[in-house]
Amino acid sequence: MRVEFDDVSVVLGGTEVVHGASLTVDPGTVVGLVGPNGSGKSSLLRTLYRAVRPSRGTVRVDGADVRTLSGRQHARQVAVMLQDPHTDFDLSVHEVVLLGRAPHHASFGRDTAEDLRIADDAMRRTGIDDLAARMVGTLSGGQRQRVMLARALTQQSPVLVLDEPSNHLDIKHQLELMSTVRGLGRTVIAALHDLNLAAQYCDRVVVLDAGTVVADGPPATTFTPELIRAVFGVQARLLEDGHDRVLAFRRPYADTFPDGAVPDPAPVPTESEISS
Amino acid sequence: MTARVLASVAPTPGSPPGSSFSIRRRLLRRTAWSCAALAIALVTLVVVSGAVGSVEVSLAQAAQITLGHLVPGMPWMSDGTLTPLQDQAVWQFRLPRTLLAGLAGAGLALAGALMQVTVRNPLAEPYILGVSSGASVGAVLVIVFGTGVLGGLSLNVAAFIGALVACACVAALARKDGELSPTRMILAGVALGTLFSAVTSYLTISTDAQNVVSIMFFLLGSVSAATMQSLIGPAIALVVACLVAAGTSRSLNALMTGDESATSLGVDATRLRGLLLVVASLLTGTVVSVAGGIGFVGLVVPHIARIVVGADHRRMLPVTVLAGAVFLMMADLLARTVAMPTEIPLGILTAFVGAPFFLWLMRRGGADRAGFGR
Repeated sequence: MRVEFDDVSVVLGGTEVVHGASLTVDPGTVVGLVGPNGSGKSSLLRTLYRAVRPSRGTVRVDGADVRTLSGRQHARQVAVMLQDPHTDFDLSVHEVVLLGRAPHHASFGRDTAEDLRIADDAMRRTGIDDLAARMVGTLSGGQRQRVMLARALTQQSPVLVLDEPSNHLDIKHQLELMSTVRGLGRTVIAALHDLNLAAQYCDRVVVLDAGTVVADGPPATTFTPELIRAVFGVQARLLEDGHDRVLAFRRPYADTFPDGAVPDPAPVPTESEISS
Repeated sequence: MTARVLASVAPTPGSPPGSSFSIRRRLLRRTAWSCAALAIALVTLVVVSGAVGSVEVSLAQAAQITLGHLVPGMPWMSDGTLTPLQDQAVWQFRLPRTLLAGLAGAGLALAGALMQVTVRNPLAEPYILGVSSGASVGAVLVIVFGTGVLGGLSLNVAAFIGALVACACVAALARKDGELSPTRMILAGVALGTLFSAVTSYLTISTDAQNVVSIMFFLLGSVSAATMQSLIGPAIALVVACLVAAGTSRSLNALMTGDESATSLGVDATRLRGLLLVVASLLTGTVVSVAGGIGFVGLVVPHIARIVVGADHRRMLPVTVLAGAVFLMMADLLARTVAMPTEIPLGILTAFVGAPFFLWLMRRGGADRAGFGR
């Protein structure tokens, strides 16, 4: 399903935080939304899952303005992996994951065997099947994030929104999460802080700065040291060993070497040097 | 990692029942057992309460009289084995007050559960929006100045209007930019409730001594004045509220996890909150106007239900309603027996019996299921 943001602006508490952002996410692709704190990533995503109403512009899913759909219709098309569930009254992991079936049912009625199967499958995919009986309030931040992913998967929507999905996850689960999400074949749009994670798993990255889209394209050509310097205010260097390309970051040279004596970068070893 | 991902992406038709299935079954079974036990307790209490009082009526006779009025043509109603006095004691005095206690308990417990999820706060109770303090002002005005002061309104009607005025004010104050924020609701309710209580206190302290006892009985709650007619209002309100609760129970679970989370699951949080507010307030208002400000039930019974069957509303709401009814029927039975021939206000009994029981339950291990561990 195609997702389109058309000239979207968002005003929060009297301040415009997104200024006429436009971008299209093609069906079945994984798009990463990156940008510094306060650049409007989350606000833009929230217009897609209807947590905020854009002050201008429209958001369309499969050609239809999201504001014209009923809540349940929309929730069957777009699932969100949210940061953290409220736990004032605690539900078990299994119950939270099953909430993902809510848009598929009238409000009363029991969970069907199919619902249970879908929820169990999602818990297995996210590696939380052994936590099923635990109360969500007793879990670690990373475990809760996987619960929220399982809930979003249980929604079985063609579009999946991830808002900083990996900030509490250990490195292994970060990679597993991104690879699980990639393997779904759904349209995915994810706000990410880790540029290397974005580069590794996204078909396309969109860079936001101060509420405006400043770059949009494949990670390899988009994440240039110039752009990263301009948007994030850090010095970036691309390291390649023939297998992986990683970006290394440091504070701007002007801060690190105030006298202007920037040392030459260390030579990057070639593949034959590594294997010898 | 790769193996795990590949394995998990592969479809798993007819996947073996995981641990989650057996946990679910256990909780469902526990819900069924709890409801059955509470229903039996309910019927037992109706019969027992019919046999307790100054006019001597045996358990069998109490059951006979109750059944005889419900099913026409029962032989024992006309063969002279029951005196008119016994019939009157059971059917006109004991049964109405037991049933009112049951309706009030069920209503307050349900309203409490709905309020707790509406404002997403475990400390919420039916009176959080100032319903009881508003009702008290209405009732106390009538007690102090007589029915003339409010244009001939009876105490019950005055109390009901007071309740609705209070929660309409709170809702209006809590509303901003088309949204009802839980925090604003709680704060507006507490502030306005304090204001209304001050009015009640002033009226109480400045009135004749003979009125003070009537006022205290209303404030603490009592079902001693119950008649069959007084049951109609709370009964209708309870049925409507139960239907709404059943129809929204899945959405209530979603609302429990946060507004944004509910929205992402297709639930309009603001609209649901508005609906719950209206239903819970009307229910509380009808109960308070006939039974006074019975405390504790609405706060504690929902928590007890969560401890027993978990926080999923599809399980906890039926248990809450039944447990509320049983709890208050039991409290009323005690209220009119422990200090015979005088009566103790119901509110005192609910706190006296309920608080230690609840604290005992809270200290037990299973309470973590209700989120008490944090």
